[in-house]
Amino acid sequence: MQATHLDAERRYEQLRLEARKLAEASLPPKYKGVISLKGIDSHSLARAKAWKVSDKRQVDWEWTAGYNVYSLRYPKRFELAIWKSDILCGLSIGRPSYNGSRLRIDFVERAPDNCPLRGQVMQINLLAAEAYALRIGADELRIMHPSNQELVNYYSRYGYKYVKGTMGFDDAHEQKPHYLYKRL
Amino acid sequence: MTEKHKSNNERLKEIQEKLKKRSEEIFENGPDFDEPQHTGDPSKIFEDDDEPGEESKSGK
Repeated sequence: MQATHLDAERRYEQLRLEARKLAEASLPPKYKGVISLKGIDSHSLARAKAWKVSDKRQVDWEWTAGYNVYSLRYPKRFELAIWKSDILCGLSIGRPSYNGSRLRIDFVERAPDNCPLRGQVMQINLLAAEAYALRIGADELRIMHPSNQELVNYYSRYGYKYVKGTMGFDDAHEQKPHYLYKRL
Repeated sequence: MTEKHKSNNERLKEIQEKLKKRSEEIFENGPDFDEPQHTGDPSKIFEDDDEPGEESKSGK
């Protein structure tokens, strides 16, 4: 790994930490001391392995392998693990654009079974992602590849606007991605 | 306190205020049970979305 890469990882780890603190401090009072926002580590990845066997899970994504590649490739990434006490409720990854003017969220997942924060994981993730975007000086947040109209409707309620790509929701060969965005 | 540190603290304070307002908006109606189980397409997370004129090295 190059020294510049290590330096970026170190600098942005500090920004991730600060952004998570800012987001945590901005959560409604009922969450204080109950929810913790952390980075993704071996502990959270080990917990996420249990998600693989759930029949309620809607996606086939291996967090450990995927995160390891993603984190190595993108030192300026956004990452989040949402915990309620000792229960992992959600994981999320994203990254800034080359010039840093916007942050994109690539993948977010809520614990598929018995999640005590069901209905709140995506809300918390939005707040934390917007916190990181603001901390790195980005002025736009993008949510990449919304898979259906329900999801577009969901994020629209939080001020996000849909931009259609070159193809439809399910097209695997779209040339220009579709996404939701919000100016911050 | 140096000018650099002072401006950084001011920046943090500004972000905190903005986030508190945003938090009120997001959580205004309580839990949202239309929440999706996941968002995004894992097969496309390494694809770039940079606009023309930007280099395709997002986040590096």
